[in-house]
Parts: sequence; C-alpha cells; structure tokens
Amino acid sequence: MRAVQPRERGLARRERWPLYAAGLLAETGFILALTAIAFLMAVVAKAVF
Amino acid sequence: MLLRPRLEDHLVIGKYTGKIIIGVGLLMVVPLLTSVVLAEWDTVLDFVISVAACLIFGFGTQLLCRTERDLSWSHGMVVASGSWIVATVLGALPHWLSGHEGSYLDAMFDVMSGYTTTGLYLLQDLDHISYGLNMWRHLLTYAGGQGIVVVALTFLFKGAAGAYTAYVGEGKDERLLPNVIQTARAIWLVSLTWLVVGAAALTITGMVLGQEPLRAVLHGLWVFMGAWSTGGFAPQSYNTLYYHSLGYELVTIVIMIAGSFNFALHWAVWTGNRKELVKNVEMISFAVTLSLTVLIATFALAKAGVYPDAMTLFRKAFYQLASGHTTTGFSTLYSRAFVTQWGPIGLMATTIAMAVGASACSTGGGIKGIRVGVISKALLQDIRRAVSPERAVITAKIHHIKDVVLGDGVVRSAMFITIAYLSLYGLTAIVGTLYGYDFLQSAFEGVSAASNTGLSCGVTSPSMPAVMKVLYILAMWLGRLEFMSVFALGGHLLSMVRGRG
Repeated sequence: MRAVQPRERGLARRERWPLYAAGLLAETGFILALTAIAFLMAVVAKAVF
Repeated sequence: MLLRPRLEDHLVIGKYTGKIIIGVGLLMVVPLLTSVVLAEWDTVLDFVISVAACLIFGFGTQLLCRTERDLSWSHGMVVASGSWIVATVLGALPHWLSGHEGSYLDAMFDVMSGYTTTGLYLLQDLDHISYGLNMWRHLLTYAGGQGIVVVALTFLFKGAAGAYTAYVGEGKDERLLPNVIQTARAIWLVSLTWLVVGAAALTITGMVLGQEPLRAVLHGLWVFMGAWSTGGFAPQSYNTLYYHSLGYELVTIVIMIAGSFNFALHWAVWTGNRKELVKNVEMISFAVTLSLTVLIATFALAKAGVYPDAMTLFRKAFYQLASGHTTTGFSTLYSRAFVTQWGPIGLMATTIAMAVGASACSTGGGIKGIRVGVISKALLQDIRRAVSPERAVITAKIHHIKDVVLGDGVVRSAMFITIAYLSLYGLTAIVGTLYGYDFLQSAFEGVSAASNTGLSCGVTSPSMPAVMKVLYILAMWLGRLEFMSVFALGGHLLSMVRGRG
C-alpha cells in the first residue's frame, strides 16, 4: 500500500519559503525603484520651475 | 435563439449562490468575534442578526435547490455576477443596523464599494464607528480583492469541476496551477504572506508614530487590507492623510502597488522567475503609464507652485498617482484639494491613471495594463505592416509569463473590454454632468467608481442623487467583474422572459 504524504504536495511546505521570501523582496525592490524614479522627477521639476 | 432556462438550471445557480452566501456569513464571524472581544454589544447583536440572515439564505437554498449537476459555463457566469448582488444586499445588514448609514441604499453602496475594492463610501461619522464594523468594512475589501468566489472556492466548493467558470466570471481568468482550487489556494498563500509582512510593517510604523499597541495593530491590519486589496478603505475619515507620516506612506505604496500585480506574476516571481518583473507586458505597461502620469502631474504641480519643496511634491504627486493607477484610492489630500489645488491637468492625469488601472487577475480594477499592452503592440504591428513590403509576414508577441503570439482574437477581446470600460466611464461622466456637476469632476468621480479606485474629488456624498448612487453601484459591479459575467446574467434574465421553452 502506498503511503499518502499530503504535506509533500502542499504549497506551504517549508523548503519553498526561501524562494517565496526572495520573490517578495524582489517585488519590493522593483516598487522602490519606481518610487525613486518618481522622487527624481520631483527634484527635476522643482529645479526647472 | 434564446432557450428558456429549465428548473435544473435554476437549482444549480441557486445551490452555488447559496454556498457563496454561506461563505459571506462565515466571514461575518470575524467582525462578530472582534466586537465580542472588545465588548461592543450593540455591534455583536447587529452581526448575530446578519450572520443568521446569511446562513438562513445559504442553507435554505441548499435545501430548496438540491441537485447533483455541476456548474456549466453559463451557470458559473450567472453565479459569479448574481452572487455579488445577493452578497451586497445581505452584507449591507451590519452597516444599516449600525445607524451610520442614511438609507439601505447607502449601506449597499458601501458594501458594493468594499467587495469591488473601490473605496468610495457614504457611511457617516466614520471616525466613531465600532471596531467590529470597521473590521467588517476592511474584511469586505480584503475578501472582495481575492474575489468572493475565490473565498468560496477555497473553502466550500471542494473540487467541483465547474467552479472554474465561476472563477473566470469573477474577472480572474488565469490558472496559476493546473487545478483551479490549487490556484485559489496559491492566491491565498500570496495574500496571507503579504498580510503578515505588510500588517507587521504598518503596526511597527504606527507604534513608532505613538499609537497604542491595540490601535497600532488594528490600524496596521485594516490599512494593509485597504492597500493590498487596492480597496482604499481606511479607519479614519482623513484616510492615510491621518498619519502624516512618510514611513506610513512608503509602506502603503509598496503594499498597494504589490496588490495591483497579477497573481500569475506574483506566483512566477515567487517560484523563481524574477526576471518576469521587468519582462512582463503588464509590468512594462504599468511602469510606462505610471511614469508618464506622474511626470505630467509633477511638472504641472511644480509649475503651479502648489508645494514648497521637492519632497512634499513627490509625496503628494506620487502617492495620489500610485493610488489612482493601482485603483487603490488611498489619499493624502482633502477631496476638494484635487479641484482647488491640483487643477485640470492634475485632475486629468489622475483620471487617466485610474482609467488604465491595475493588472488583470489582480485585486485591482480599470482597463488593465495587459489590454493597454496588447492594443499598443497591435497598433505598432499595424504600423509596421503598413510600411513593410506587401508580402512581408509581420507577427507580434507579448510576454506574459510566457511569449504569446498576438492573434486577432486576443486583440479583439482586449478592444471589446476596453471599449466597454470607456463607454461606462463616459456614461457615469455624462450622468454626473446632467445632475449639475462639473464635467471634469463628474468624469473623475465616475472613472473612480467604474475603475474601482475610490479617489474622490467631493462628488460622492450621502446627499448625492439616488440615481447616481445606483449608477455608481452598477458601475463598480460591472467594472469589477469585467462585464462578461454581468452580460451573462442579463442574458439569463432575458431568456427567462423571452426564451423558448
């Protein structure tokens, strides 16, 4: 009889979390880069006007 | 030829609608428990009545609509759109019983606004409502952001093959994983992980700002829900302006932009495909349109001399534009400041950002970046075709998780939905103008409702005409479900009257 190991198939199993965390950090980095560009726009706009 | 639905069709639709309403009733247990813990006994009673109403409806339909048939494609569409209306009618009970709403219509407006992650509200004296009702408002928007059907899929449907049709009907047509139930669970995994991280970041920021621990935790949780679901509800009437904090603004910017990403993109990035962030057509479209609208607003505001320094200009311009583009609706401005300080160019840039909106298969609304990307690519393809030799074969591709050849069907579908959104935006703007509001302001508010954003320039208020309240409710619903399932519901109702038996 085959042993059923539902935990093995789960999306939340432990070894997946470093990859998930790296993904979350990459998303945060991408958003902060967009934010930094907007800040630069404000600096340039204030310098122009 | 329209065929009149048979009894069996009504039974299937009733059964699955009932299941979703049971889900809504179970969701109400969270604010009920919040009120019990915080000894808000009047609110406890409101929620006991509301939970009972949902469960009576839900289990009543299970008893009345006993059938073994699974959902067909058309059933799923009707369930997806119809259940949002029933969930709005019943979900409005706690709002109405609280005494903070002028009428049941106002209560339904607020609940539809919550489910659809819009964020406009007619609730009065927001700063003094109970913790329980505040929990319900934010939970509505958090669950609505994932999709009510996704909530039900995750916990109640248990492997029904036809459940996929209801999932598609709710405007989420991508499978992250081969199985639709697994897809729903992957969506929850991403959302709950962000909930833990985001709510913790906001709680810590709140405590640094001097909030008491309980208040910091609740505000952190609720503001997270408002940001992640791109809903825009906040616990205070001044919205996020209440916090007067750069830190709070930066954290909410990260959460609301992340919330506007396609769940398929999240899943790709979270499973190792991090280049997708800069290759995906939706991300490119979002970065371009956000940068352009921020550029326009920033320079217009700088020229008008509205803000004294670059930091204030950045904080005000980027926050409102990011909020508008992600269709969140958080604001660090007083509503009327859009009119009195930002002027027509600022108002127009924000309206365009809201109209374009977030990513498909996200918590956000609007036309969606993928459609803007597809239409832009198709336009470029046509230009290349026009200037190329007659026998040249011109093909275009878009990258969304994988490379996809741009076929006529994809472009036609994107154009159809885009035209439907533009028509809805136009209709809300015209009706507002007919009721005496300035055209630009009624366009801003109408686009805000139909794109599920929730930014307001002051048009939305309890004293607005009832016709506009009903129109905005319908616009929020149509905008959130992306038309098709609502059209299917319309077709179903028509076939009941005009169909052949």
